[in-house]
Amino acid sequence: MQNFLKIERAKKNITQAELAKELAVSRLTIHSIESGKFNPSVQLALKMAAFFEVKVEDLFQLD
Amino acid sequence: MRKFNALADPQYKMVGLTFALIGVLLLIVQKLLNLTYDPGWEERTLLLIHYVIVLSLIMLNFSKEIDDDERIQRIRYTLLKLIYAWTILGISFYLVCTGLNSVNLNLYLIIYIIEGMLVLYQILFRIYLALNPKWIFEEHRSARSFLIMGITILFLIGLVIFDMITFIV
Repeated sequence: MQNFLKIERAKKNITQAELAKELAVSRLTIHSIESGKFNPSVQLALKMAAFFEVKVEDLFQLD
Repeated sequence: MRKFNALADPQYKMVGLTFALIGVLLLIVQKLLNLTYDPGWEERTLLLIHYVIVLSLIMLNFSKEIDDDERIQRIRYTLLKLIYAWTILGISFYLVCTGLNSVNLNLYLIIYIIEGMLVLYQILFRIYLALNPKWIFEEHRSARSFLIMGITILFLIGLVIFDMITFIV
């Protein structure tokens, strides 16, 4: 699964640590998702989409 | 993915670590001073100290992290499966080796296996939190390694049951 988290984060100009704080997760979790190591749960994916004000499918896509 | 909502708050981690260190310190003190008040006193205190150490390690290992998110839960769940299997393997192997002979059976060795596994869990947990290995998060992991471990556990449990039957008869 590919994700566009890094791009959305760059658009908003926020760091991994700031995003982690907003979503109440650790910075390493954001890093793991961005680097494709870890697929987030639906709940976290929805939270991310809501934070970036995009659809989940705009944030995460199947390869 | 399973969630561990019943875990203690992060501050219990420090309490567990403190009690575990006190326990180890007491073990060293008892070993060095070699105090004996009455017959069986040493045995009783040793068991009590080990009991405190095991409880403290459980408190240390099974309390939440500050950011206890789903990545940390996944690492914890994977390691729990691994350590649980290793503990059963270790104890079963030891029981098989002694043939359930109460003369050779050393309770402390079983306690050492449990304590060792709890310490190993904590070390591996810290390493995996820092290294964040990709295999921890893989959804479709090869079932072969778990199959081999499962067969080994069943074999050892079978041997323990065989030992029990032979021991009773």
